[in-house]
Amino acid sequence: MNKPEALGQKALEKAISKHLNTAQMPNFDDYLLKKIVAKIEYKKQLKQLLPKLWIACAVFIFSLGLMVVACAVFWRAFVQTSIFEFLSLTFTDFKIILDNWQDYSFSILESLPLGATAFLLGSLLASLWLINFSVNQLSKFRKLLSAGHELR
Amino acid sequence: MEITVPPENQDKSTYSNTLKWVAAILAELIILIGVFALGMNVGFRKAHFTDEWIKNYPANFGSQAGAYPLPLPPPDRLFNNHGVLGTILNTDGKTIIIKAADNNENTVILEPATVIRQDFTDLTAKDLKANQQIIVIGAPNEQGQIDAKFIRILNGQQ
Repeated sequence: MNKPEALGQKALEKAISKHLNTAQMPNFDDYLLKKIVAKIEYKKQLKQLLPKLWIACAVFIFSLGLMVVACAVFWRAFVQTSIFEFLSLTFTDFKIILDNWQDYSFSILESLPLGATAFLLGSLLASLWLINFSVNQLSKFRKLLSAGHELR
Repeated sequence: MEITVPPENQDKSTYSNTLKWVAAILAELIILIGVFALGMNVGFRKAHFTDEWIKNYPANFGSQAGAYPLPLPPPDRLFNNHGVLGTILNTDGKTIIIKAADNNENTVILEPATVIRQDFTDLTAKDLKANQQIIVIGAPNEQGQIDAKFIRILNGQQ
C-alpha cells in the first residue's frame, strides 16, 4: 500500500472506531478501502452519466424523426420534378443517352430538387452524429453498470 | 520492459499525420470548388436560356413584339434548357410547341438527326401529334429554343 492509501486507511479506521467497539471492528485491509473508494467513484460517475443518458435517448428519437421527415420532404420534391422520367431513359435508351451524355447530364442536374436534397443530406449527417452520440453514452452506461456489479 | 519509439520514428509518424490532414483538406477544397463551379455553370445556363426565351417570346410564339413584356421569373423557376417533359400543344413537322411540367411553353426544333421513339419503335416527325406527352433531350440555342437530339413519346394520346 502506498503512502496516500495508508493515510486513507488510517483515517477510515479512526472514523469507524468512533462508532463501533473493538469487538465490532471489521478486518481492515487494502481491499476494503479500495472497494469503498471505488464505490464512491462509481456513484459519482453514475450521477454524472444519468442526465447524459436521458439526453441521448431523446436525441436518438429526435434523429429518427428527423430522418423520416427529411425522407418524406425529399420524396415529395423528387416526385414533383420530372427527374424520374429522365432517369428512366437510362434503362430504355441507354445508347442514345450515351451519345448525348452532356445534354442528358445537364438535364438531370437541372431537374434535381436541390433544396430537398441538401436538407436530406444534412439531416442524414446530423442524424448519424446524434445516433453515434447516443450509442456512445449507452455503451458508457453499460460499462459502468458492469463495473458496478463487480463491486457488489 | 518498457518499449520506447526511437526519436526519428516519432518524427516520421508526426510528419505522415500532418501530410494526411493537409491532403484531406486539399482534396475537400478541390471537391467543394468543383461542385460550386458546376452549380454556377448550371445556374448561368438556366438564367441565360430564360433570358433568351423572354427576349424571343414574340418571335417564337407569334405575338407582336413588345406586346407582352414578360418579367424575369424568380430564381427557383428558371427554365430547364437541356431536357423538357411536357405535352405537345402544336407541331408543324419542324418545330414543336410543348407545355412543360412547370406550365410554361417551350419551342423545340426538330433536326434531321433527331431521334424520335415510342416504346422500341423509331418514328418520324410526322408521327408527333398534339396532346402527346414527350420527353425531349437537347441543347438550347440563342433564340430561346431547344434543338432536340432525342424525343421519347410517353403515350399515344390524341
